[in-house]
Amino acid sequence: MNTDVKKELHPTMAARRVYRLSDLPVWLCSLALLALVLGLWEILVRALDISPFILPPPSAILREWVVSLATPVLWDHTLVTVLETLLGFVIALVTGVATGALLGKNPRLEKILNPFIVTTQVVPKVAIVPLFVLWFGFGLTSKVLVAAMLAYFPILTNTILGVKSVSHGHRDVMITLNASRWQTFRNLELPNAMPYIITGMEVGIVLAIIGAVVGEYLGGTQGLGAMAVKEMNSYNTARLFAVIIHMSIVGFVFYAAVGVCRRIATPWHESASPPRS
Amino acid sequence: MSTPAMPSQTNNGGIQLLSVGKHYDTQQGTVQALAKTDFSIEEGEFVVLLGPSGCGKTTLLRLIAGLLKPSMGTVTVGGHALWRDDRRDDAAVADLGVVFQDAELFPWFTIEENIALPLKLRGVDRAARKQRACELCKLVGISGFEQRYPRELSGGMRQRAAIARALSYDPAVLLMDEPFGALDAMTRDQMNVELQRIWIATAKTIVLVTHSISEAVFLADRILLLTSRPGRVDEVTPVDFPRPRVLGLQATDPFQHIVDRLRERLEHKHEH
Repeated sequence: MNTDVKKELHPTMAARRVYRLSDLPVWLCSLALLALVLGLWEILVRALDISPFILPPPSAILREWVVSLATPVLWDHTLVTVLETLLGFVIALVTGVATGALLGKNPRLEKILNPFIVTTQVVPKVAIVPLFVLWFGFGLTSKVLVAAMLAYFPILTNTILGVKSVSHGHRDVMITLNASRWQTFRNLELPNAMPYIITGMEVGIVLAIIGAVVGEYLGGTQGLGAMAVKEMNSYNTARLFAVIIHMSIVGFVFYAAVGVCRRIATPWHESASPPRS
Repeated sequence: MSTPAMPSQTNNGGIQLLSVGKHYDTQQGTVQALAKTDFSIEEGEFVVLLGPSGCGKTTLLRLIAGLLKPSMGTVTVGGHALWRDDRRDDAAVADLGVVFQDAELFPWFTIEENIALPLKLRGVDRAARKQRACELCKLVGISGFEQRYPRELSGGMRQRAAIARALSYDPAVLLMDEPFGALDAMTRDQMNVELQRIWIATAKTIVLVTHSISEAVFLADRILLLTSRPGRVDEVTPVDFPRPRVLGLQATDPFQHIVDRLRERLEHKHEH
């Protein structure tokens, strides 16, 4: 009887009765997927009896992480990495926006410098990190500068693009209003570039953390990168994983912070509005 | 605005074009965008530049707006020559308000900030800017939308805001480049009535570019018909229906008569 009724129903109404995955909220699906992967990992490690030196089960990693959260050591290292990342990022942001605006407003200068910018983009910058350690020592400075160098280029190129992508119509408005160069920059070019700059910042902040951590891998005893190397040398794989997870969370917080910046700085832009369903 | 001490400003909103022409030098040779043109617009007059696309009407408007420098001749606004060598005269530019086809509001500013932008550039303080923007919103009929962003408004309302921005610093002349070209026919009719009301209320000189014959006849005191290759003023048609004109005028015989005559003239010119 039921099947007869279903046949008579409008197709969309019939579909509504069927339980579908697409009815679940997106975040719940993501969470379920994560639980599935972790569950499989746990089961496989136990079933295949894999050595904890190679691949510890998620439960062990989680335990290590929670335990180290209660120790000051992890937080001391975190603070160092956060400081390096932030300092490097701020340096990259200030210099990147300033030089980007300069090049965006001077097409001739940009053309002259373009081959150099492209070259620096192509060179694997991580390869220069040992040089920085050599020049600036094992302390904070070398890591801050590595972070700044990595974060600089995406911010630079996006700022150039943003300043250059002002529409002719908007330019005409400022011309008819007899605006000065500075007024045009302040009221038109800079706000026009903002969404681009923030996109550069999103890439830049992630690269800044990578820069700081890679710098720590290579030299010194401070920071999450140095901590990871120490755990690796003592074959404490579970704690190494815990440090990696901790780094990821720090990175995620930074990235989310830039997202908040986007909503505050460019509330007018489509990229800042919540997705429409 | 005019004072006895400055006799040259008695004709604040007047515009004179003396032997104005524009050509571009390209690799294929010289392209003439606008042939030598002479005419003058009275203060407070509503002049419409009418013609098909490519006839140089936008070129002509941009020449008056100071967005293009004429290859020859002189543009005078309110008694001031617009160009002095390669620099535009500040007094002449201050007399011009320009409304573009696509509103060209800045998306990062609210409607109020957009309208008050010219005042901000002139160093007017925040409170005075806010008050002026509020008055103008009332004038153009978008009160209550001051704090919205342009993308939250319809095309017609954005164009109203663009008109308010052009009026904010009280220029004597309003130059409008197909301001309602992107709007649907009904909104367009409504905006024409509104524009007439604003023009009567503010007593500005208006120069409006359009390719719609009925829009031209409805709005204009005088229609300058332009023809292409090279762009030049073909003839001047005075329109003397009394003001304020109502939309019903468009259905009357005298109105249709002028529309038909202009259309014939344009089609005739197009065949050659």
